Amino acid sequence: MTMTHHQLEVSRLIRADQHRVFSAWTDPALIVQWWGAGGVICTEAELDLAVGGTYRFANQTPDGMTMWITGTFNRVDPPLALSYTWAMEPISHDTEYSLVEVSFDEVTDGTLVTVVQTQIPSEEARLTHVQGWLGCLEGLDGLISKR
Amino acid sequence: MVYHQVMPTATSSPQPDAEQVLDRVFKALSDPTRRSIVIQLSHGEATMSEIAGRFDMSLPGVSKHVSVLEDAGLVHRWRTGRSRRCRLQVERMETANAWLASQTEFWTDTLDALSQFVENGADHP
Repeated sequence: MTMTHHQLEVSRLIRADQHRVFSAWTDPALIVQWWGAGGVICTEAELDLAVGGTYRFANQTPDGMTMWITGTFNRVDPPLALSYTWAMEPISHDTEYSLVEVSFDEVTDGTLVTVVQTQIPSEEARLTHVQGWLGCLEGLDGLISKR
Repeated sequence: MVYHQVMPTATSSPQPDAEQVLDRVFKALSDPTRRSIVIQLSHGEATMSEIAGRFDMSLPGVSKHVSVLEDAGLVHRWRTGRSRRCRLQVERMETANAWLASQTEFWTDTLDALSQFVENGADHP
């Protein structure tokens, strides 16, 4: 079986300093306030912010299904960068993990957040993720600018 | 053109007996990813691409799971133009459900009998 992997890159300027953006990205109490896109909301988030630590986000779709996203941190470098594996539960021996790398770069007006996701198992999944990340970054911007 | 025509899942091979049907159904449902696919299809039919997009999977990965569900008769897969669509075969879900219901009935009756026995036993030592 030949596997073709797909990747994406999205970024957005957030008008806040790196520390604030990094903490919004990694604090479960804040994640549930901005995570989600296209009617999907995050109802629960848990994470162990350390290399080798795991995270789980509950994504509730408009039709009421809850899908958990989970993975392990490969890089935790506050407030500059994060890298973690990504898969949708249920996890089994043939789960196809992708890799997410997030960078928080200081720019004149705030922080440029860039998400690079690689090893995405299909073009269909890639399109879902692009929409997902764009919606998430919009939510993050909304949360930070209203404060 | 009739795309929605219901076709038997195995026209050439002989009909599996009831035990084989239950084996395949419960084996197919013993995997959490396949149960998730069944849940999605219970909301309506979907293309293989939609399943891959929703569950973050490769098309070969989806195909592998759908084939197992198809062998069990739980899912019907067909082609329309360039896309492959799937939907739940409700009748086969009913077969599994009927088996579970018959067991529930058996155990309810058995436990009723047990409780009567215990109660009567307590009345007449």
